Amino acid sequence: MTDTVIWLHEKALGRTHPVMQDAHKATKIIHIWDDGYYRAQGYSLKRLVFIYETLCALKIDIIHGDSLAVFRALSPQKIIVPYTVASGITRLYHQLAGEFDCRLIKDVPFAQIAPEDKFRRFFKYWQKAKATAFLRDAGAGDVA
Amino acid sequence: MFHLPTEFSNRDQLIAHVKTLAPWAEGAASPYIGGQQAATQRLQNIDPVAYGKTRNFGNGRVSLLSPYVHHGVFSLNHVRNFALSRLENPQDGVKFIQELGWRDFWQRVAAHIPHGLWEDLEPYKTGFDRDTYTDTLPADILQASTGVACIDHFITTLLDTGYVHNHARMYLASYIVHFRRVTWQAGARWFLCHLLDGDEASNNLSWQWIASTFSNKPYIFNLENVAKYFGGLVDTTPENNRPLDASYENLTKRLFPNLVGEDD
Repeated sequence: MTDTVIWLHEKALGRTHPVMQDAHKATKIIHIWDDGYYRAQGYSLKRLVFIYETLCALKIDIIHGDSLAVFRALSPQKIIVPYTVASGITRLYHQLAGEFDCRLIKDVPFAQIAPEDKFRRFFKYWQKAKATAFLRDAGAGDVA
Repeated sequence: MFHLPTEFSNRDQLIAHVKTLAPWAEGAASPYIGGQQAATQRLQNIDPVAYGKTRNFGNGRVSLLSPYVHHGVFSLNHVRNFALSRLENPQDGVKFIQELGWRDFWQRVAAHIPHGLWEDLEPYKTGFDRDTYTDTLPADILQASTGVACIDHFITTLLDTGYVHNHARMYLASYIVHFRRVTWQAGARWFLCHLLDGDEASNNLSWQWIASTFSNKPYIFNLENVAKYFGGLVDTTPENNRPLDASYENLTKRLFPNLVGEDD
């Protein structure tokens, strides 16, 4: 059994994501090269090469296999996952969450806007976003 | 459990390795290279002020950061912070920062769509029902042989590099949906196959914006517009771009005949 695994999926291939703050506690930081996932995405070779080059630069374990099977073999106590709206990753996440203790971690926001706010047009979004979009770290830590 | 290699003697070896992993994957590698080092070089090269003045032009000072942002090498916050460090006055980079905002906007919209990113959010405002549009991309589009020179150029760029200027993406999407009456879903799927920064939220919602299923009206363009922003970079001669060589008024009548009489 493994303690904690940080799963860096293809939408979170960087070391600046807040999920990496847990890295000192994790025994593994991995990417799973899931043939079924990538084939379902329909990516061309150039997309796959770009992803693989990015993975190599990250210097993390790249495990070849079905995502669920890999995690079953690792048997982690907890899986930490960077948040994404991408449907393919979200589907995988929900499968994992059905069997493992999973935690989604969001990135530092671009703008301080309540998550429940809904927008149908950009100009409505920008009316709210512009208050913090021009501030470093969206003004986090500053007086709102 | 099989660990894949992360060290290669050269790029060709890495590419050959990926080909063995994914023999079904279409095409060749892009000249654009993934990874932190390439991303950092792009970031160091940004000019938010110049971006604001030239972003709509084919040879404008676009950052080419989007593939790296899409794959999380840099967050929007990180890129924004770096841009601010390059600006004496944050408002001097308003267009650059606003462009980052567009990505944030699409992600937030996507988070609230209960039925997913492949359904029409609103009806088409073209005078046509969804059933009028075909779900299959014609072979001439897939092969960059439409006979419309600038369109074929942009398609070739997409297929060869996986990166197309945002303005050209709008032209391609508009041509596919409005000139060829193909569903935005077919076009969006094709873009996601090839674009290095292909993001389901940004891509699909942008296609819907062009199509008018997430906007107040369909986006169209004409040859004059392409010549203004891409003149000298692509063939914009009328004889090689005949379907585009018309005024907006005439294009609107041709492309949306069921809307004639509804304007003004």
